[in-house]
Parts: sequence; C-alpha cells; structure tokens
Amino acid sequence: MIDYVHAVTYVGVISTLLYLIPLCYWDIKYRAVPRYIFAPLILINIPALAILYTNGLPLAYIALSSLLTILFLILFYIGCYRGADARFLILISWFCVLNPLNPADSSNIFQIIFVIMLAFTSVMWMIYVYFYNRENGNKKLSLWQKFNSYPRGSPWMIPIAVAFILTAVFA
Amino acid sequence: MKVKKPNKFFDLCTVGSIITTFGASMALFIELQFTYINNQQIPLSPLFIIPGVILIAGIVMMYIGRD
Repeated sequence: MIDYVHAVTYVGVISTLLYLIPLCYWDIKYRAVPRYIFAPLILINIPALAILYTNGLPLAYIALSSLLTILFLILFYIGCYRGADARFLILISWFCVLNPLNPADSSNIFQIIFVIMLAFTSVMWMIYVYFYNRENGNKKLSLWQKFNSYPRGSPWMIPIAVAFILTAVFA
Repeated sequence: MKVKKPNKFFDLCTVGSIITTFGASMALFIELQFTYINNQQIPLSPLFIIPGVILIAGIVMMYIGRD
C-alpha cells in the first residue's frame, strides 16, 4: 500500500508526461500552444511540492529541480525567446531534473550531466548560427539578430534536433 | 518588436549574458546538488549569494542586448 506522501512524488512526473502529449500535438499541428497552458501544471505541482516539503524533502532539492525552469520562464517572459519550442524547453527542464525523484537515490549525477549537456547544446547552436550568418552575408546584423536569423526546415535543423534528442536520451 | 541598430554595446551585453548566465546557473545547480546530497539546509553564504547576483546580472544583460 502506497501512502499519500509517496503518491505525491509522482504528481510532478505523471502530470508533466501527460502535458507532453497535447503540447507535442499543438506544436506539430499549429506551431503554437495556448498562452496560459502552464497555469494548471503549476497549480497542481505547487501543493504537491508543499506536501513534500512539510514531509521532509530538503529545500535544496526543490530549489534544484525548479532553478532552470524558473530561469527559462524569466527569459521567456522578458521576450528572449518565444514560441512552442520555448515552452517545450521549459517543460523538459522541469521534467528531466524532477524525474529521478527517488528518496533512496540521493546522489544522482545524471541531473548535473543533463543540465550541462543541454546548456552545451544551446551554446554550440549559437556558435553554429553565428558562423552561418557570417558566411551568408548577414554581417550587418547585431549578435542577437544573428542568433535569431537562421534557416528553418529539414537539412538545417537536423544538428539541433540530433543534439536535443541525444541530450534527452543519454542525460 | 522594435528593431535596434547593430551596436557594439548590445553585442557585448549578449556575449556577457551568455557567459554569466551559463556559468552562474551551472555553479548554483552544482552547489544545490551537493547541498541536497549532504542533506543540509541552504546556507545564506557567499557560495550561493555571489552566483545568484551574477545570474541576475546576466538576465539583465540579456534583456538589454536582446532584439
């Protein structure tokens, strides 16, 4: 028989997994997702985290699992990036750190590896896009515009897609 | 969104924001990981305050440099 504290530990993982299905569907079909799509997820997860905290989960773990998500949310709301991919990134940053939520497995090195690989992927993508724009005559753009001006579609997006899948699978 | 004219200052802000946000968030993440592994409470020490301040500075720089 599973008690309610252990049941609560699965709320974050299961609610995020359920969220991924409609999010992928909206992203593929409309290339956009509803504006306040994360409000129900946050409303479900905050009481769950409160229950875990009052039952002995260290504050460091809660801060650990929400650090990158909060960082991505801040960058999203000040307009540094937008769209369905950004929301997908926010969700993955929450889920992949929260996923090994196991009280017996406290020294989980995979959490650090995941974060470092995701950040490394983004930095390598920026370098690639920068040199793409230098080679294609967009030298007059500012650095930020260079990062945002890249060809979308099949052959060009394959490196970032492969890097993202490798990060999600191996880290 | 209003398009800014290319400017060395904004480019510098973008580069600085990438370095500081990357470094400070990694530092904070690893410190939080070890605090959690050792099952300690988060101390109000320079180890947490300095990367936190650098992270906020990086976000501000990213806001200035964005286009």
